[in-house]
Amino acid sequence: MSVLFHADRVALQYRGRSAPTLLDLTLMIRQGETLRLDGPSGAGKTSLLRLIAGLERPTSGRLHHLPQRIGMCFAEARLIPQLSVTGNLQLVAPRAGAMMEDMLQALGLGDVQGSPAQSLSKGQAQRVALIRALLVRPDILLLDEGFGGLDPRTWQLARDLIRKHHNQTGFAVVEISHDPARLVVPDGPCLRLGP
Amino acid sequence: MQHAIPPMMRPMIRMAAFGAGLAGLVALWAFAAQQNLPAILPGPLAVARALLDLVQDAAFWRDALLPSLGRAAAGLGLAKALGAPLGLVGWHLPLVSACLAPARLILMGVPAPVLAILCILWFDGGPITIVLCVCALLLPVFQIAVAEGLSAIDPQLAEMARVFRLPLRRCLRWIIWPALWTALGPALRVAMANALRVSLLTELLSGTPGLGAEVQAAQSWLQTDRLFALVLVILALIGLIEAALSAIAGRRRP
Repeated sequence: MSVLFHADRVALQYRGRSAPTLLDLTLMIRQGETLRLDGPSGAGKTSLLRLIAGLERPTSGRLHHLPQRIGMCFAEARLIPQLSVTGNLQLVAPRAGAMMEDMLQALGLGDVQGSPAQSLSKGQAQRVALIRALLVRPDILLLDEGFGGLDPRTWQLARDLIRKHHNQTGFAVVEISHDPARLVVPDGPCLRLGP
Repeated sequence: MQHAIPPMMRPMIRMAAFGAGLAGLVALWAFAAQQNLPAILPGPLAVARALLDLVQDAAFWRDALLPSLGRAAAGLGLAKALGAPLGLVGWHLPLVSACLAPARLILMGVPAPVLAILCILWFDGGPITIVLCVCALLLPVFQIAVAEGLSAIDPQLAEMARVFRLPLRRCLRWIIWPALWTALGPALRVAMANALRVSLLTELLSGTPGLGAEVQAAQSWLQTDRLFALVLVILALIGLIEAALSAIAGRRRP
């Protein structure tokens, strides 16, 4: 299995902070693997996701590999408010016609696909953000507490969609969830960060 | 009171109120004109006749109106072409912004007539002087507008674009341009009207053929009705520019 991410004794310290957020972290993620990040608030879970996504650079240590195609569900949906649901999806995947339709139907968004993103509820926006992350056919899927607004039934639909595509395409999954009942791969390996 | 009026009627009522205000102003003007000599205050009819003559005069369009508009547009274009990259660099590198601040403060602080006189003294006083004067006054407006617009880019959307590797064109269209337009739109609206005002002022002071020089000639020959007609032309031009920009801004609003 090819290596998607490899950090070697990496540290990350934000400007103005007295202590590093990540210290001496060595981590390798291969294709198809799953990883759950655990730890108290402020332990660096989101920072590690941002490092994997290429949004942060380590202050020391080396990154040997970074994933090429990343699908990320941020804690916020981060949709373009004036664009429709399909517009937001086509922005990242212009040729995802049938696949996009299937995913929208699977997550119960068929009726709102022409609606502007700013008119969606939080839960609808989070589902659109998940579809966007899957449509890019990612090497790695990063989930940062992205499903807080989903009711149990919709959460199960979202989880099933992720599992189906994970099994089909073999992307890696790295997830953060404070609710153990809402993990996509609950029995997968866990990396505990912080004290 | 406003709540009692159906929403569909409100624009019509506003138009009617505007018309009533205008009619009152013209009536007041006609009354004041009757109490004064035509050389001091011509009546609305005399000004309307002068306006008709002016509009029908091909030489006025060819030698005054179009050259003035061309200089204003050239000065505006130059200011935008220089100010926008400076705003971009200043936004990206705060040190460059700090370095440019003294020049920007001088250009923004010096009154337009003083800058026009200095430009006339330093350059030849011809059309190029007018273009440079407009450019010097409007360059800081564009520099600040671009820097402010870029600062308004939603950092969360910018990160999303990085993660999903959005092509630059789509980023520009959906993330950068809407933020930029929030500052650039109002700046453009102010700058376009000011470009015309400053080019007229510089023409008036330098005597370069154009709308400004026409105003000066009308004043020198006590052709007050023509002077008023020229003022109406200038007001109409500024009104048209502002209406066009309002329409564009309205279409771009999400």
